[in-house]
Amino acid sequence: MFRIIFVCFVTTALAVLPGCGHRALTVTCIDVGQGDAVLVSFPNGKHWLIDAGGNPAGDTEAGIDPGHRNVLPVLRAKAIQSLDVVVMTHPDEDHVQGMLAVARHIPVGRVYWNGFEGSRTEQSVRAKFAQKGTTVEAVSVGSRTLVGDVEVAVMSPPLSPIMGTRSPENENSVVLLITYRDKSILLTGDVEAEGERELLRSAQAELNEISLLKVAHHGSDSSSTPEFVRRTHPGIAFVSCGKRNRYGHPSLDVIKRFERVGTQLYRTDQCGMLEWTSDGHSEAVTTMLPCNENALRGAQGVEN
Amino acid sequence: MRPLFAATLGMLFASFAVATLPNRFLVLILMTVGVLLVAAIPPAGSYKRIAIVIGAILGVMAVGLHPLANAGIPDTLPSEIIGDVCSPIRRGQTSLRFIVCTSTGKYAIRTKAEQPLSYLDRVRVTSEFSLPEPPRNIGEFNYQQWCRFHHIVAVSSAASNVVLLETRTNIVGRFISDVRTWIDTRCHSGLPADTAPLASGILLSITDDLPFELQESFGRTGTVHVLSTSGMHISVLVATVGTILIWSGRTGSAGVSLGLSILVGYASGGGPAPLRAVTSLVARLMARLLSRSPEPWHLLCLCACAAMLRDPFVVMDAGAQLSFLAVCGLIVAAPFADLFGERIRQSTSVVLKVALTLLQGFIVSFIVTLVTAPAVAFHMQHLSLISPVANIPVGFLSEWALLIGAAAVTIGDIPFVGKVIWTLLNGVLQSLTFVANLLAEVPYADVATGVANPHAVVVASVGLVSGFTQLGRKLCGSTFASQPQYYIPWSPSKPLT
Ligand SMILES: [Zn+2]
Repeated sequence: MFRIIFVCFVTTALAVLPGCGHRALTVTCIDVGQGDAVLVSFPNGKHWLIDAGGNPAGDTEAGIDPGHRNVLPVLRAKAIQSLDVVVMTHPDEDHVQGMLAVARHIPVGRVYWNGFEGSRTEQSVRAKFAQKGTTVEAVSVGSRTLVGDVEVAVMSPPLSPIMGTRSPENENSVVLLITYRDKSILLTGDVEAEGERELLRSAQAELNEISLLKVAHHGSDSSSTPEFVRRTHPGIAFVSCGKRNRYGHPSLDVIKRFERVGTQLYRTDQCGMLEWTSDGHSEAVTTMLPCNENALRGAQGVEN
Repeated sequence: MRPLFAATLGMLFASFAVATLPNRFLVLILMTVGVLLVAAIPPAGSYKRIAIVIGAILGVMAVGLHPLANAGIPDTLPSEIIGDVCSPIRRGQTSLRFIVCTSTGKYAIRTKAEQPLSYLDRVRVTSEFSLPEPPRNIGEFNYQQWCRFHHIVAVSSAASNVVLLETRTNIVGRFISDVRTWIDTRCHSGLPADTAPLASGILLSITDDLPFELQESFGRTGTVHVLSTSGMHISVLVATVGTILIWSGRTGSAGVSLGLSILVGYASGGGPAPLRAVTSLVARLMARLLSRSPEPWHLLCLCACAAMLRDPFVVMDAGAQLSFLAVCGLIVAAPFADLFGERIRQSTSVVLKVALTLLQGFIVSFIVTLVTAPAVAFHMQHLSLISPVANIPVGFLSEWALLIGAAAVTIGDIPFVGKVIWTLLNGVLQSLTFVANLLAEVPYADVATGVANPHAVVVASVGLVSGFTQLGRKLCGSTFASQPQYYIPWSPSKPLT
């Protein structure tokens, strides 16, 4: 009898338990339509979520917001039971709205944000986290933390916020630089030209030669200045934008700037979810949808 | 020797058929149904289980060979179609969704919410049609596959233009659609705005107006089945009517119940779960009319036959798989429940009776959760750990909501009594909402699973079902409960015998 029970439970365990034990750094750019959601899985099994998408206009029919539709399914498929850190780069709807679903369904250790009060959605997200007893902490340039042997450094917002530009919320986005052995990843939120200039001014050589760049502001031409692209010189770049979005993201100019320095560009609107994996020396990119060389180069880029 | 012999013969026959015959799909379907029918004929024997497994394998093979499963992508999509509305119309906040059947295939339509349309109307739809899209992230619902399994060739854009050409008179379809609308309207007029959607959800499985937060709470507690018409609904309603009509004699009561169960099955939309429940009830009532006692596994096989004949793709349908597995769980849990039933009858203390009843509910709920766990983990990608506990109060309350709801809809107009019934229903629905929301907030009530291997799921499910069958036999001395039907632990009414 016990033999039978044993067999039953082993088979169930085999079916239910996911494959565990990965020793690589994985950066997943979740396709949330027009918005941003990046999941970073560290070699030591910790998980950080940077933004969670949202409908840009803020309107939503409950249950079809990107948090429910895209982010939670990815976390579940990866058998992620809790997030160690959640980062809200800035309070725009297309970055924070999906956090409501995350806050409700996944236990979160700590929340970092840029300290810029914004939309009602962003306030309700922070309230939800606070209600769950999660520490919500505003961060700025200079904070550094080690996650296993991976270093995560906050590069922005600056100590004295950038004001007087078109969109101070965007300019003061939280920017993270993740360094793992030979590889470095720059996650830029929605910083625009002024924020990029500030980044280059304050950072040392660490911003030269980035392995993976999450292109700022969905590839809008208000960001990714030629100087910034030349200096960071990314090997691979991810653009997170909606299919046929009404903003014309990513801009053809921006695509050309990256092409000029030989960056391999991947777009969520063409390739679906993007995933970059590295053991610190070699790297690999996988895409959810088949994604030909044309699509990578952005040959069908929308004119802005 | 007999099971091994049957299995070998079955597999040989199957491979022969697949390799040689011209219309392999049809042959396989007929074989599947044949094997399941053999399994459904008494007397019971161990080879029946093997027949069920063979039947399931054949079913999966058949679906793989179905012409639609292998159909290529159409070269050109039309910009205008004419056809009949062939699904219930789902009303969202800003849109209507339904399926139109044409001579060239089915089309999923989305349009503005003002259209006055109903089931079976002939319509002309002008839209920019496109092929169903594949999922854009891992773990997402695979709409493309769903469409393929439901024979949907294309989907309309949100801005499609629908013109009503002709209102059709299919008496049965129209009647059922009208009954559904009538019940829905009654719920909304008799109840306050916050509980009316839940009443529609439980009575008719219409969840369009149900707050998303509450739907999530049911999902997190593993009790979302109370919102879909299932065997529970049909069994409870029919058992109640049967009990009320018992004065009219055994035959009369069974006859009325028979008619009612078929009607309820149709009214609920005719999905695999209601179809299963109706087939099983019809068989059980027929057996009762003939003074025979059917066995649960045979009934289940019969139901599988009915479902396969209606639509072979049901094998791949997550809802159908879960529904059948849940019934398997209830069948294998029955001996354990019986064990407790004996103790409950014998005990004299009320406290002990209540405690044992709760424990019995928990054991049954736990076994069902465990048996369905691999499939749930695979299809939903998350699993409710609190489900065995949550199902006891939620199942109990939703069953009462169903009974009182049925009473309220029918006799809710009687001056004083009606008012009392509606108030009572509102109270039950409020408590249901409260309990579901409360349990959903328990930390780690719901965990992510990330199961991606369907083969492991099949092995685990078969292993669990046979494991519990063996365990039940060892512990309780019998494979099945003394009751010749699957066991409903929280049923307020006596099960049909
Ligand atoms: Zn943005």
